[in-house]
Amino acid sequence: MKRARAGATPMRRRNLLRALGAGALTIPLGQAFRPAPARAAGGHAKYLFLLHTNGTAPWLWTPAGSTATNLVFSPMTQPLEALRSDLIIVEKLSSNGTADNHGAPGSLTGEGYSSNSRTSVDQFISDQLVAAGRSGPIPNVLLGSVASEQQSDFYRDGQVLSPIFDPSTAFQAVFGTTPGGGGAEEDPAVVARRRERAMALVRDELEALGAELGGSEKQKVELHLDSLRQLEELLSGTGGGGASCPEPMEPGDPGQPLLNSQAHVDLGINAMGCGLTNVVSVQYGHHQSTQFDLPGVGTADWHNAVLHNLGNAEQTLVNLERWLAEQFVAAANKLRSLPDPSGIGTLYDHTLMVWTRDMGDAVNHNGDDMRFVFAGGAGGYFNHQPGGVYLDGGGDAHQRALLTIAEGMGITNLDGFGDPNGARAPLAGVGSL
Amino acid sequence: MRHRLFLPFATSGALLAACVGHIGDDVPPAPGDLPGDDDELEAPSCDDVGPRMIRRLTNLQLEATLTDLFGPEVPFTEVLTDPVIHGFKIDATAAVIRDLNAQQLMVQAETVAAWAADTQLGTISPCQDHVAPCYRQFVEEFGRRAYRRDVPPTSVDAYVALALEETGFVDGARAVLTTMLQSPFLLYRHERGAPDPEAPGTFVLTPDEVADNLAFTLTDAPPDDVLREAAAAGRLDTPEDLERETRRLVQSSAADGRLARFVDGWLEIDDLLTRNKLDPTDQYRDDIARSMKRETETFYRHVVRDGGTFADLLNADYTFVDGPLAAYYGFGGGGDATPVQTPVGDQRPRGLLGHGAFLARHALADSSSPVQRGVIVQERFLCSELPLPPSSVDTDIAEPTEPTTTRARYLAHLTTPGCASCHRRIDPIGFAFEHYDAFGRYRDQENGYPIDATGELVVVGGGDAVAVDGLDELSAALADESVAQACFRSYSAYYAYGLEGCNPEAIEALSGDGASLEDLWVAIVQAPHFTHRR
Repeated sequence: MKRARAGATPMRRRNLLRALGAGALTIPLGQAFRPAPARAAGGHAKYLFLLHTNGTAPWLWTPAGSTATNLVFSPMTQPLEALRSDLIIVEKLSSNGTADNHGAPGSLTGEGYSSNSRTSVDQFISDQLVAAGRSGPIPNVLLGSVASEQQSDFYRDGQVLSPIFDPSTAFQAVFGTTPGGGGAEEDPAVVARRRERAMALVRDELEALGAELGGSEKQKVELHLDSLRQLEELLSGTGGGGASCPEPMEPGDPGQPLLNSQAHVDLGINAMGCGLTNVVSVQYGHHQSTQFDLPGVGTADWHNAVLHNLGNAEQTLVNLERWLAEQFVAAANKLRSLPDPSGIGTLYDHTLMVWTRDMGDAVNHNGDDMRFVFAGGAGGYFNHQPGGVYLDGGGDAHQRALLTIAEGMGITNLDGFGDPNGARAPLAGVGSL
Repeated sequence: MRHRLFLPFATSGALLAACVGHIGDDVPPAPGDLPGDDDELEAPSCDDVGPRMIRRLTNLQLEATLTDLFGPEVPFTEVLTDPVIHGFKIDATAAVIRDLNAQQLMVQAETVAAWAADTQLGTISPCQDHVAPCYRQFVEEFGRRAYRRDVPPTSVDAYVALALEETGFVDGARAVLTTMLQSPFLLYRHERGAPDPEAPGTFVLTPDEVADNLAFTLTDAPPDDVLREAAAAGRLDTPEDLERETRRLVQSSAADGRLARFVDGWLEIDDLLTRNKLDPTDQYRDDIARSMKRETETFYRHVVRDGGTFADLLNADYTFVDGPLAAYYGFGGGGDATPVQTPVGDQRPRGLLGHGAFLARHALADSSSPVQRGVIVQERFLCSELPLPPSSVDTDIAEPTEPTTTRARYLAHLTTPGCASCHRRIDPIGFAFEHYDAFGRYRDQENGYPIDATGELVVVGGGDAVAVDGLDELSAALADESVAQACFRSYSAYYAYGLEGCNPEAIEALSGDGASLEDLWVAIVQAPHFTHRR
């Protein structure tokens, strides 16, 4: 179906700077790797990197024998040892019925089907960062899932969000602000004026249209207008952020969802490094249909042929979980490889990394054993231990872990997130502002 | 607001030991309602004709629109997301423009406009002078095709002013095109209508809007010249006008893709080629899967265009196979890559349920699945709302210690306390498929045991359970089932409207049980929702 790719020319650094506007902050690369900020507990992260996957078989995954000061890795979690001193693993948290099945809505929202306004933690954080003037020009980037589903566990105001699946499309969405069509480069001021006029006309038409409509139809128009406003801020630089960065390359098509998400991780972190966004979420696969064919892992469908065929596929699940852990570690390494646009340390030092899941026990459809893996420097928020940290949630509400993510991003007013009648405090012992 | 989930029953064991409660409270489906639902914006009520609305074009429709404007060489890449609801990518409520979409659309618009300004101006513009009258003519003429209606006067003025800001016609036209390609008048189908003088408070869609509806509903593309001319001449006003254009389009090749995508979504076979299959004989290959999907699409189109009925979909004694698939099915060799009508004879089951695509898609990687097949029939043919498995249940089906049959393993569902309440409506349907393995091949025995394909069709809201032996009997029972015919009408109407629950009574009155599938399309188009709003 696809023909010529729109704007497939790799982003030129100069164009990116132009696209970012006058507010772009240029950091000489020689200054990029200043010493990392202090890692003593106390502080908060600038960036959120959230990796979201299906649930697992807890009895195979759990790092049995771990303590609050020392992690003992299971075969599934072994690759995480590379991050040992920065790891905090929390298990045995309860979703209180909000995340006890594939695609249940509570894993990232803390709320069940009864809520019409549930919002996933990444979106809540994104909004809070925008309000605080701490957002990049793109408030958040949501990537992943599989082509045939285009749905996710991420929500905003009760609406399920659709991650961008195709890596090329994602690239264009994040880095595609250069004038399309190739040819001679144009004066950026001319391009900017042309875009401004075009958007003004489109906005006028949309507003006139919205005046005639009501209910959900008006809401569609409002979403479109919000999207235009976001674009205007990106182009004008008023959304904040902006920095020079290594020239990112448009990814190819890896041909399967999980490999696509490798490209998504790369792309999202590059966007952080370019000062384009502070919130990146990647959903690996989909809870119903994720076919994979990975060397060293196997060929199967995650849901049907692995999670619900465990008698025949236990080793495949072990392999797959190891592969996912490797992706988390690879993301950490990518974050470590890029200077923070502030010039202080690397992206990793300022990033709160978290691995979340749609439910706890995916084999048995049980949300009573939710688990979270935290890593990253998080600006000094986490209470790390040299041997790593393992915390037994003891059935506490998993919403507390979601609130921990928000607190780790420096958000102190947590009202408005999750179940107002549920547990409202972040987890004890994970980190401190 | 409906917040029901798609059911996670694509697993063999998902319901084992899970059904401690009930199944859907034994409540038959409401007319027009479909089981399962993804979260979405608050969908407008469609109890009568529904409110005035806009529908964002799908990626396919947007591509077809750009192709109509600029020709097949237009550079296009999919930048929007089409959420999959009920198996289809046509939901009128879930498809929106949000977040990064405006940026994506801007980049696409700039790319297309730059290309068009370089290569297409001689074709798409009646003049090329950098003066207001020329721009006005260009905006009005090209804009009418782009907007699929007259460009509002205020917009015409704005476009002319925008073009005159540039230094020459090429840049001026490029600025116009860039903006038009981001306009809500191009990106959405508008259903606002004009006040109905005969019914205060209601609106009648304009001829342009009706032409838009007909074209996108039946071809996933903008109106063709015939529809445009009919709209301009006032020949889209009467039910007879709608019937004429519906039959014309359904019978035309322009509807090929649209019809195929219905059967792909309804039967959930669209992703057949991406499903992992572990065939120990290596006979099931991508080319066979592709042929299977094409078999079902070709068959469905034929039944629609040949005056066939819902019962024909299930009972037809013929199918459409190409050479490789004919050999795979055991029809004998020969034939080329073109599917040809072929009697199924005694070797293959009748109707859609016996197609390889359906059988292979609704099975595990290496074995059949009575649960998957039972669930898909309950959901897609009977519109049953099945409950989610409760938490804290072991859904792994026990591995046999001795060779046995799939049926014998799944019988545990019917004997385990707490399970039978659900599985008695699922597995016995799936058992009727047991002569066909995970790859759609016929088998007489499994692991040395003879196949027992006896089963039972239980219909919530229907009559007594119907005992069946094998797939032909199951298909025949479904074909006779009024609930199944109503369910099919509901899926068809949702596919046309992108909304649930619109005008089921009106559609049934126009095209009840036993009507032809083409008549059903006519009924959907003649129902009030297609032309009226409140």
